[in-house]
Amino acid sequence: MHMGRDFDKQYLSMNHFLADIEGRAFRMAQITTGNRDDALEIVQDAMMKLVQKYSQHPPAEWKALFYSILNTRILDWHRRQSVRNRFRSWLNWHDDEEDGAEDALAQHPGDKNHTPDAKLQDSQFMASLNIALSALPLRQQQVFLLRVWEGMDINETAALMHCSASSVKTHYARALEKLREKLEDHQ
Amino acid sequence: MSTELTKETTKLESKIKASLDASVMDLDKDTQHALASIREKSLKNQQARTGLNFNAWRPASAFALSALLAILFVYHPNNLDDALQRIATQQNISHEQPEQITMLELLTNAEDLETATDPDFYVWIDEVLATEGMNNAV
Repeated sequence: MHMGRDFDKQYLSMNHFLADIEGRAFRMAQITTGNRDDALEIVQDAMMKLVQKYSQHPPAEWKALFYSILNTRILDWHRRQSVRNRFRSWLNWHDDEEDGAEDALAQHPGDKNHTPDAKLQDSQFMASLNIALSALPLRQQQVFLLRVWEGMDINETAALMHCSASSVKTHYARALEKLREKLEDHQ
Repeated sequence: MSTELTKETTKLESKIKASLDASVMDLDKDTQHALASIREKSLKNQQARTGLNFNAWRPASAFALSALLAILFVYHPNNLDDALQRIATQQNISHEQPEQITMLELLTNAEDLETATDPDFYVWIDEVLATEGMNNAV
């Protein structure tokens, strides 16, 4: 069912592994945070921790370990952000919030270099996808990206996210349903 | 109907995946450089850690040190003298106490127990030992 990225891909070195994964990791973090710098910081933390703690592990384990760290970092970011948001709303600093969300989408790379129609459609789809993915609850978003983008199966995703296989199925089905609704016009 | 939905789902998933892959390919130069420098920094840390990883050598060093101490203790010149002296003493004892050893051999041997309980045997053994003593004195 899933177009698999080879999860068991063999990596020759840690450098090879990180080079392969960094772009996707960054995009995952960027979709969640909506902010380039925060996304880079999250990816940096995840890479550092993987190298420091787990570089002696077999290369076949690196991917699961890396995504586990990345998801934890993203979750931490979310927690900090929700505390910040509560504090801001308490202080009535609510005015710039909506502009911020717009800015996050505006800085998306998909918006650049669009001349032909196909390219324009692609970038419009990308922008809508970005909005739709960002709007998903965090767990649904993570499950969806790991399953569809990384090609992980249900059990791998469940182990990585410390939840049951049935939770993964539920999160995935809900995410897919929401995305289908929001991307209806582009299909 | 269900097959139709599955097909649509697969198509949507493929489209999403392709779009996400394209977004990685389209990352701007600054972000690509930033990611490359983050990777480099992480790997530098790894190399530094590998180079200074004394912990890995700790058990081997402890074993080598204790082996060296054991060798020094066993083969120390003073200990060698002591050991030689001990051997010499033991040999002297065995020369000085032949009677006790002979008696012990007799008592531990079950076959000779009958002989050992015979009073004539003691008369005989006194004569033998006396003769040996005279020979040794010469």
